[in-house]
Amino acid sequence: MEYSYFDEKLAASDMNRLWGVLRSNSTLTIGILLFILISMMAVMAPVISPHDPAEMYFEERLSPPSASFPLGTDQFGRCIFSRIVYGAQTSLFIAITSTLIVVPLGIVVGMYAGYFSRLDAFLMRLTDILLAFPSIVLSIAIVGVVGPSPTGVILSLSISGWAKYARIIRGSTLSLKNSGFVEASRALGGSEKYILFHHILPNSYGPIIEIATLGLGSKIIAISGLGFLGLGIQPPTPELGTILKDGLVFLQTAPMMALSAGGMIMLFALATNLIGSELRSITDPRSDTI
Amino acid sequence: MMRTILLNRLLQLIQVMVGISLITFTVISFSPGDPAEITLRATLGTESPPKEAVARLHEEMGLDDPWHVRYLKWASRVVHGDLGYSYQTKRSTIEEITHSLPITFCLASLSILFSASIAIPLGIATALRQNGLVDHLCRLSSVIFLSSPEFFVAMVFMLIGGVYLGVLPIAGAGGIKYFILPSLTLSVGLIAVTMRVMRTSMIETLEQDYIRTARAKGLSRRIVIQRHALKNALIPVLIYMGTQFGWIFGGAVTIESIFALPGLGRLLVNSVSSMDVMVVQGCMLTFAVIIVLINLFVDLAQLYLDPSIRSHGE
Repeated sequence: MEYSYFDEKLAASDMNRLWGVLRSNSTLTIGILLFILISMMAVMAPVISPHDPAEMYFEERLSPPSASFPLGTDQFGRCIFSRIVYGAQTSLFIAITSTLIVVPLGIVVGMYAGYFSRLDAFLMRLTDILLAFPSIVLSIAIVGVVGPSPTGVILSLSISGWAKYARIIRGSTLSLKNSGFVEASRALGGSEKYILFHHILPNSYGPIIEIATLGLGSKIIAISGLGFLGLGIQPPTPELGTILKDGLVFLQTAPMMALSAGGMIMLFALATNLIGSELRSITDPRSDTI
Repeated sequence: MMRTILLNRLLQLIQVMVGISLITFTVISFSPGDPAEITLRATLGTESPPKEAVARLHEEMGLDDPWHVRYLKWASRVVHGDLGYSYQTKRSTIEEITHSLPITFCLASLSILFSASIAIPLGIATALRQNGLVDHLCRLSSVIFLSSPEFFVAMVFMLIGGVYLGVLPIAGAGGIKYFILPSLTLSVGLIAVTMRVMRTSMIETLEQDYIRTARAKGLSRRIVIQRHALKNALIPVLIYMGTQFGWIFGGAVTIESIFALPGLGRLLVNSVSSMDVMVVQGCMLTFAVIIVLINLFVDLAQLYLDPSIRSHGE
């Protein structure tokens, strides 16, 4: 099996093995640690942020970093650090939600197309169309029309996002459906549903996790891109792309505003890229690693 | 071979155009807000246009029909070359698009040029000295660039080029110098990946038998790399860059808005935020056509560059 190495290494309940992979692969470890750190910051936002992200301290407007405002304040005197932390929470929530929509949808469509071949041609045409088109363009059109709310952003990311997963799953379903162990299971009376979810799906976990990780980063970038264009989540909700856009005007007076928002997005994408590319090199040893 | 490719791509063109316009159309027709009212609000300049006028325009625009009827009507107009007009500027959608397309095209071509001239030499250098200092630096910067959102890169470039050095304009359109910062920004992500593709391709080429033969017959390493390896290693890289041309058009959407370049992407963003429905549809259709045409061009280039594919098809 193509992905057996990965399965052995990670699916085994043996913690020592997992520890071994992490110890021998420092890039993966750095990526995971970075990811955990940022996620913890986002989840613990109410605890670690020193101020309410919406609270305005008018006499402290555009002040430089200080003890009470770790990254200074913005044009309304709001604490930038608190806004960044809450902004990360918003982005992470939307990215994870849309991933949770897109992955099962892609899995079901891909397995259906690959296994039953009834709607295969039609479904694959559909993925062709979505993959041929730059997803950000589609997202902008959708979110602009549906309205710049969290729901609109999630919807716009989901409509264009499932095609990639469907493609991968279809491919592995096609190659697995006539393999020996699937035939054996069928001969033993395994139902189609049982075969799909107990034999075919587990063998596709490797690439799914890899794409989902990389996708999380690109979703964070897309969410803040929409915010930057004024089409994302609207103020007063703190959002990284919006903070970055507002900060552009004050680049010379309060550079921390734009730099810290951009830095946060970058660190998040960096974490997912490091994890994703290392997972790829584990699942496909011939690929070029970063 | 040539004919099958042309036929396939023509089929894909129709599919992508229908698919994308259908998705956009459906989303627009299910969105809140009455297009007739939005149009009148802008044309009359009042917040509450008279109810009668709204009803009349509603009727005229055929907004009472079910959405599939409206889609078919719209599609038949498109087939006859009518993409409607922008209620904001009163110009036809086609006029708007033909004004903005050259700018986006110029931006995309320049960034491909920048990426090729930076990524290819770096890729070769890292392939020839694997795990050297340059290789490690390139690997590190590649992952960092890949993780930077383009609007953040744009901001850094604006700071460096426009504010600190003060040599380049950071917004607007005019001569070629208005394109330098935007296209550099756009090329950063492409450089990060192309560099790695070039490296891998070069390493794989150097392991081929004909390279060993060339070395064995006494040619110097330099000559072998220049005359034999480079040409073959470049093919997949050029094809990769071709396929990324469409991605560049996607990236141009954000970049044009940041640098205030009046291209296709900015037109899309502006028309989306003001609900200029006809222009949104027109832009999406244009994007679809461009992407498929680029794919066709890449296919033909591949056929021309790689003779093994040509003979394979015959």
